[in-house]
Amino acid sequence: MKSDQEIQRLAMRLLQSADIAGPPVDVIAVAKGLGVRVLSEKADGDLSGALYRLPDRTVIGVNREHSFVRRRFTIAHEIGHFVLHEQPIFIDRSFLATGMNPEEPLFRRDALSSQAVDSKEIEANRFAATLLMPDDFLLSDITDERLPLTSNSVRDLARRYQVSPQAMTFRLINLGVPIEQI
Amino acid sequence: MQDDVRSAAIYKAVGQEVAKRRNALTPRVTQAQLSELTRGRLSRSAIANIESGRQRVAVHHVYDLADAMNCEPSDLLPPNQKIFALPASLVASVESDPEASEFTRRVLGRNDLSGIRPRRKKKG
Repeated sequence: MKSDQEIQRLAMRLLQSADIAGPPVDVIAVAKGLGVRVLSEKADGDLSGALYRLPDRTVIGVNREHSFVRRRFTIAHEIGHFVLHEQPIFIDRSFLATGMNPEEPLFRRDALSSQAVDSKEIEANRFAATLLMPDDFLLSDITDERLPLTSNSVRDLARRYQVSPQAMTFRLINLGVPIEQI
Repeated sequence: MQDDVRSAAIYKAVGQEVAKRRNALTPRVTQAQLSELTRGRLSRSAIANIESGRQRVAVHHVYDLADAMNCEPSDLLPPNQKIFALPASLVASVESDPEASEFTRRVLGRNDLSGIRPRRKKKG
C-alpha cells in the first residue's frame, strides 16, 4: 500500500507539470499531460469508468450518464490506476461516496475483484481525492474559515473544487479538519 | 506523444516481419547478404535498423526488400489488426461482462473486441 505522502507527492508533481495552481483541478489536462486520452461514452448500469492500456495508446473511458462531479472523480480515479498500478485494464463500478473514505471502502465486487484489487481501488480513490482536493490548496482555502467548518462552507468548498459535498466532507475529515456536527 | 507510440509500434511490427521473412529463407540469409541481394540499395546497418524498428523504412525500400526476398511488398506489412490487436488479457477480462464489453467497444471504437476493426456499413 502506498503511503499518503507518496500519493501526495505524486499528485503534486502531476499538478505542477500541468501548471495547475488552484482549484478546480482540470483532470483532463492532467490526463493529457500523461499522454492519456479521456473519452465519455454511454454505459449501462453502475459502470463508472475504465482504464485501457493498449499497445499503442492509453485511454480512460468515463460513463457520460454520470453527473459532472462524479465524472471528474472517476477520471481522477483512473489516472490514479495509471500512475500507481501496472495492470493493463481496470473496469470500475460505483465507488460510492463511502468508497472515497479509505477507512470504509465500498464498491461492488466483480469477476476482477480480489484482495489485491481492492487495495488498488482504495489507493486509486485516495489518489483521486488528493488530486482533486490537494492538501496545499485546501489548507490555504480554509485558513480564514472559522472552525469547525459549517455544512455551508463545506458545500461552498465542494463547489469551488467541483467535487461532491460527500467527497469534500471525507477529504476534510481525512485531513483532520473539524467539521460541525449536524 | 500517442502518435509516436503508434508509429513506433508500426515500424517495429514491419521490422519484425522483415526479420521473420529473412530468417525463413532457405538457405538462411544474413543481414549483410540481404544487403547484397538488394544490390546495395540498402546497407547492412540500414537493414539492421529497419528490422529493429529504429529506422522508419521508406516505401521504396519496402519494395527493394520484397524484391530481394522474392515476396510482395504487402507481405512485409502486417495487417492493422495484428499490430493493434487488443491485449488478450483485456478481451478476457471484459468478455464475460456484457456491460463492460459494450462500454469498452464504445470507448475504443471497436465492433469486436478480438481485434477486428469496425466495418463501415455500406450505403444503399
